[in-house]
Amino acid sequence: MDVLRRFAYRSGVYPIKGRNVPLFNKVFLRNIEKYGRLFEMSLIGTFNMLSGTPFKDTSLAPKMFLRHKINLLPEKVKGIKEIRGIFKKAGKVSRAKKQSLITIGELIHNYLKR
Amino acid sequence: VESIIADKKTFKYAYFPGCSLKSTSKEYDISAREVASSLGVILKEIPDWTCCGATPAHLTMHILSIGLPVKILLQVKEMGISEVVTCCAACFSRLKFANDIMSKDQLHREMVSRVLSKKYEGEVSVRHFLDVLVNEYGIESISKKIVKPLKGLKVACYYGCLLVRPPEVTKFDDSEDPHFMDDLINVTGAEAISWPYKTECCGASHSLSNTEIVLRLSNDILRFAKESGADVVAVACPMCQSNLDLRQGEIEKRYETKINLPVLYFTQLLGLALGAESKNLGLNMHLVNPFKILQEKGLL
Repeated sequence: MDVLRRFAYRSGVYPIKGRNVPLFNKVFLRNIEKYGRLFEMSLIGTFNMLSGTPFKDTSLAPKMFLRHKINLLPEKVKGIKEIRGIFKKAGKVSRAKKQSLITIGELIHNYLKR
Repeated sequence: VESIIADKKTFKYAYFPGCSLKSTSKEYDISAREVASSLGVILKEIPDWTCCGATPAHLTMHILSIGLPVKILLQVKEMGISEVVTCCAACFSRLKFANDIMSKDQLHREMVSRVLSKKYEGEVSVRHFLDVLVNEYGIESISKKIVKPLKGLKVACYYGCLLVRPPEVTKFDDSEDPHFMDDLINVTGAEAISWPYKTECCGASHSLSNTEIVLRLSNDILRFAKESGADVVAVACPMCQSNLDLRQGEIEKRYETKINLPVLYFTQLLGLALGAESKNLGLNMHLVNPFKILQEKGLL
């Protein structure tokens, strides 16, 4: 199952109704590559924008802020260069295409499909 | 005898909090540290730790999903500690998977050493905090430290998927009918109820990408817990907690129902029984307020 899923991912094959899942995975991994630790504010914002649902979960945001559950700034990680190196080499070893965010064209396509 | 052994043995572990415990689940981190401190368990945080890759790495790039956790395990090795403890069930699963494969498979060792430029052969032991408390510290020893029994509180212990499955890798409890958390909750003086949805999936990382599925699955879990007579649900995973607590209001709207079931970490309940103050356990950080039921039962 995992192997088939990864093959599908590499070939760019997505289930018609499940496009948001690979999109989320891409945004998540780009986030880790950039910050070293998950910066949830950026993850949620980027995912919502790219999935064409910018106002998703907006009612939850103030409740989470009040309870200190969302950090306004990313945590700094000293070994970020090492993490970026792992991403670069892991892509090479597994022959995956370089991770890239969804294109503007795809974004428009997503929006029109809604 | 067990308590003498517990008193004499030094419980020192490397501690991997993981990303969730520094943001959406800070109360899990706070309460775990409080419990550890009460019991004399030393949790030494890995300096400058990084993300384990979680489910997205696992679903997309195999070598990355092994390489990121192995980087963390190598840091533990450099600390000169042989065991790493994590509270997050997802981190536990990724670290355990990576460790298991590195201890068995030469091909993976070679591939990962090319990515990390370091060698690793599965030397570190990966433990979940619940496992350490129940199987290392021991239920008997914990029972001697309980100062404020949680009498009259009925708890549905919810394990979810990643803590117990796949059993050949996690080697954690009975994968079909786990009881570690039930044993721990019973020793606090609360009652771990019998219910059928202990190991069902809550939708986990699909919370953002496929919210509708999360609402349906989490509704089933909360409904069964409520109908089984639970006052609160106890969890050991930050994603389960987020889905059942943060999304509970949305579930109530979507399914036109009233649930109002607080979802607490097992460390918060144990902390209360060990005499910790509620502010030191982050009980005020949940969306579904647990104070009302805890006050009704005379526990606060």
